[in-house]
Amino acid sequence: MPAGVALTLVSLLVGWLALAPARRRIGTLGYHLAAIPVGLLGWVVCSAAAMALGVGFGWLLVIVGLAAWVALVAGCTLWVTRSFGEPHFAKVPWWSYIVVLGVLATFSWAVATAGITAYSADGWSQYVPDGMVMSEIGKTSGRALGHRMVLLTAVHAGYFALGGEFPYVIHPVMGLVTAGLLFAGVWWAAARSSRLVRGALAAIVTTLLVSNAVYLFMSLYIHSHMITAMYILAAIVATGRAVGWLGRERAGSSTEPTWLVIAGLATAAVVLARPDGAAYSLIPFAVAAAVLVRVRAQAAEVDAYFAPLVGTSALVTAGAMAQTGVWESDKLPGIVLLAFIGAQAMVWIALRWLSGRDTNWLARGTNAVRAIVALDVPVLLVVWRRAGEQGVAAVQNMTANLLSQGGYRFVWPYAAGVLGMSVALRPRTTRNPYTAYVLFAIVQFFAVALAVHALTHPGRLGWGDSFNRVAFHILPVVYLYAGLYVSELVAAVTGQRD
Amino acid sequence: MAEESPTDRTTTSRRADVVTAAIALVLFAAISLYQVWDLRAAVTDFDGWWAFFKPVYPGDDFVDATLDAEQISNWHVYYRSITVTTAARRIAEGRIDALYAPERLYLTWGTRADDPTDYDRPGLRDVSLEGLSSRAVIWNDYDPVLPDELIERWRSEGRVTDMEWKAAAVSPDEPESEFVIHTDMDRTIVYVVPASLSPLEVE
Repeated sequence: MPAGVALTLVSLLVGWLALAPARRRIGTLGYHLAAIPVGLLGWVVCSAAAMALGVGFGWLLVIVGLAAWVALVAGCTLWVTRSFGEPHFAKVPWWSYIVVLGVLATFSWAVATAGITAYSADGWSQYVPDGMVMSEIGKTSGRALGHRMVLLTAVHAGYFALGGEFPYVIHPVMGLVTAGLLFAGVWWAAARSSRLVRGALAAIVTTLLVSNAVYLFMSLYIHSHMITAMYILAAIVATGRAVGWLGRERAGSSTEPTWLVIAGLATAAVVLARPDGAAYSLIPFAVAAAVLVRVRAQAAEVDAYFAPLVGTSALVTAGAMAQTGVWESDKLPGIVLLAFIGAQAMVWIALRWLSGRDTNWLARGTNAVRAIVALDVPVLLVVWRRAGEQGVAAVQNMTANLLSQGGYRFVWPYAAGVLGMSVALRPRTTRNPYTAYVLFAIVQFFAVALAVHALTHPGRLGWGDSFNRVAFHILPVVYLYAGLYVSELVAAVTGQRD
Repeated sequence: MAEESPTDRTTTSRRADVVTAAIALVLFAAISLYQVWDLRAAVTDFDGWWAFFKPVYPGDDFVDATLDAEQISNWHVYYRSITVTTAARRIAEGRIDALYAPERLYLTWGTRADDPTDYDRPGLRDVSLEGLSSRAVIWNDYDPVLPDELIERWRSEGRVTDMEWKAAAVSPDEPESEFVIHTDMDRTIVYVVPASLSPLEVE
């Protein structure tokens, strides 16, 4: 079996096992869709162990590492759901396992057979050899951690451990899962419509994403972009499902903590995916924090999101630091990563403290989002002042790339059109509360990007510019937003409402 | 004038929503049509989609991947290092335990080629060899040049596999994981020789 197919199926199996105790809490579709993102994250635990012990990905380490990951996720899910009543979904049908297994095996085998991929020096000279070295001797370096972080290196290391030579198959698989998450997100968003309309809406929006040249390219590209985009979308969809605004099981009155666990894991993956991952993790992080405040989450619900997030980030960082110490880097020094994880833990404590208190104003409407935006503004002003001319250059390059030079064709004018239209033309009676949170996620992405690029490097014109590629990370969320918006419109036209 | 009842207000509000939504849906459909042009581009101009770096088909072959990578002349040392270490891994059927290389690495390449980009005879790079072999390189002070007759014998026995970037792998009878880097008299081709076949005595 080609190593890429084996990596896909092993990751699927790990995800299935890790989420098995909670499968009836998240339903068949959610269970199968979350399996690959949760399973792929298991390889990062193998990396943490390999780095801490200074050994390669031998069979024993891989089996123990993945088994430990299954036990951690399953245990965490069981723990956080212990006081949340009985599962509300029917048993996951046996045939659905065969369908998912068949689709992923066929797809990954087709990619492996075609041999199709795309890469630049970042891929062949860093992401690929870093994974090879991790797999063979469990070694890393401050430079590798500071420039590439751990997640994709760990996934590639899994590929090498399974006998491969050039890890390319998993990237299109992540593209497929991203498309699946978008389809499901829109399907759940359109819960008020008939099954036929829901399916049509989800299919149309997903087609718009997968017909996008950038999506097609990123599905092949050996880099951290597709994995980051997949986990950001997974975190946003999981948070929406947790609170019931995607779907109609709870409609914002309570949460399903299993989805919060998945959102926390996906946010941790964003932290570990890139040197700027910690900064971009603030997008799903801020959405989840605002949602938890909005639904007046209990302490157990706050734990459900933050324990996997802080726990996974801290575990992997500890593994890396056991080998390299607090590494120095011109991109992501170890001390900055530690500060981010510490800040996440502080927010965890703060939200736990708030959970037992009267938060009437903050919990009303989108006030929590407004509060975060109010915090963003002074931060961005300080960043702007400090960046000086570099900030202006960064903004010029960012906008010129997105609108004309970066090869996105009509994508960002399209996105701007949908965003503008959704603010100007919006039915009142069929509004989904989550639309505001997803719009906030998109705005927050650009705020973070501005801060990162104004302060670090202003970039250059052309597709290869860092921000131009990073802009893809939020694109699936833009399409999710379009799906949410159109489902509101359709519900208004067809007269369906809650 | 009679006051508007709550029912009337709801009906008016609902009608306004339907009109708003209908207009928005038409606009959404109209701008989405432009998006579909990207699909057309992907089908009709697959190789020119978005990026300078085009989709390529190396499959699970790291050496083939170097042929499709950026062809910048002073990067050929990386590609040759990838080829040498990949050859060793293929023979070892796994990781490399030791890769003996001459301390004077320049002994493995000859004088400059006629090609001004030095394309024909790329050298090797010490840090690349170390990194790409997972730190298996052992530097040793030896002359890496092999006698022609030995190379000819290996070739006649079918042990030699010529690879890209002027590299060649010599196959042992059984897989082994320790190797010595050699070259020919002209210092044109770098040979990855299993330790059991190398004339160099290694511990």
